[in-house]
Amino acid sequence: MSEKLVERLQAALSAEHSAIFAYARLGVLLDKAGQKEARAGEEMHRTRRDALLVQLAELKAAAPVAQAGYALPFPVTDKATALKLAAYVEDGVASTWRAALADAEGEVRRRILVAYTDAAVRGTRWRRLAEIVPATVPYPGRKT
Amino acid sequence: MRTRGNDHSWSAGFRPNRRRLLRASAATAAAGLAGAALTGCDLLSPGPDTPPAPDALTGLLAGTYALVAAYDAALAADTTLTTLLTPLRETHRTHAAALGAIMSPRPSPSSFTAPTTAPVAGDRKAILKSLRTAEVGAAKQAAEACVTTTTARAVLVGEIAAARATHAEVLA
Repeated sequence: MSEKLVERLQAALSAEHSAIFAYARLGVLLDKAGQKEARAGEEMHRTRRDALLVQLAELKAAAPVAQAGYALPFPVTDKATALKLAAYVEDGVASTWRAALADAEGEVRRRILVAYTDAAVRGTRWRRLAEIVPATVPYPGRKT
Repeated sequence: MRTRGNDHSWSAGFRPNRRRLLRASAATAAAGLAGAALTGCDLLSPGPDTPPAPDALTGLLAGTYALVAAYDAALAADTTLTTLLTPLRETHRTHAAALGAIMSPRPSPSSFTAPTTAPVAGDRKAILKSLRTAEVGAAKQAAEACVTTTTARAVLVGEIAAARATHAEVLA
């Protein structure tokens, strides 16, 4: 396990923490279907967080803790901004996992790819619900 | 749906045996690139006249061109799908160009052109379902390629896998 990989996993854990926080904030602003999707998203990020905690403990590496609060990138006051935040959060998570791909091999890389792909798909789902066109991008999580 | 066998047209991508067909078309393309049959070549110690071995991403590139052809056919069949499908096809074209740029030897796009483009049968719903099935399979192909490829190529191939998965999402 390279030192670089540890850094990438720590960054992914920080992103997962912020995603869990954001989902808790935005869920209440959505309709029933949106709330269900938000709960599923939050649950998935909790699962990824727990897996990362185990993985970092095995590597005897420090695990960043969740902050009490996170500054939102824009005011989240209604359904439209809640959907936008959900897409924003998933893009951020996808970006941190994507960055870890080149620092892992084999099954470790596969797990990173699964987490990256899942965040990319959820981001697309939220953009679809927000009626953002197109809902897809050629390179998910790549900062342009 | 179409008949099976040596049909290398786009609809082959929708058959359950698409992996085998993609490999077959990749091999065909590779042979075309090499300009000669690979039979008898010692790939480990190529002589001066030996064509270079095809790039490990040749199969992934063939699959990308198969997707482009599938979207071409779907777009020709139903103009109401233009808004939804055009950006997806453009993404596959972008991926094909990005893959071609890092492959060695440099592939020729003409090697991957489907010999015949099958007409699309069915209504809008059936077309979207076929494309979705193709994207799901193609996402798996790219994910496997990502796991086995080199460090330098892992991000691009992983991006292609993730993008294909997002396509399946919007086609659902």
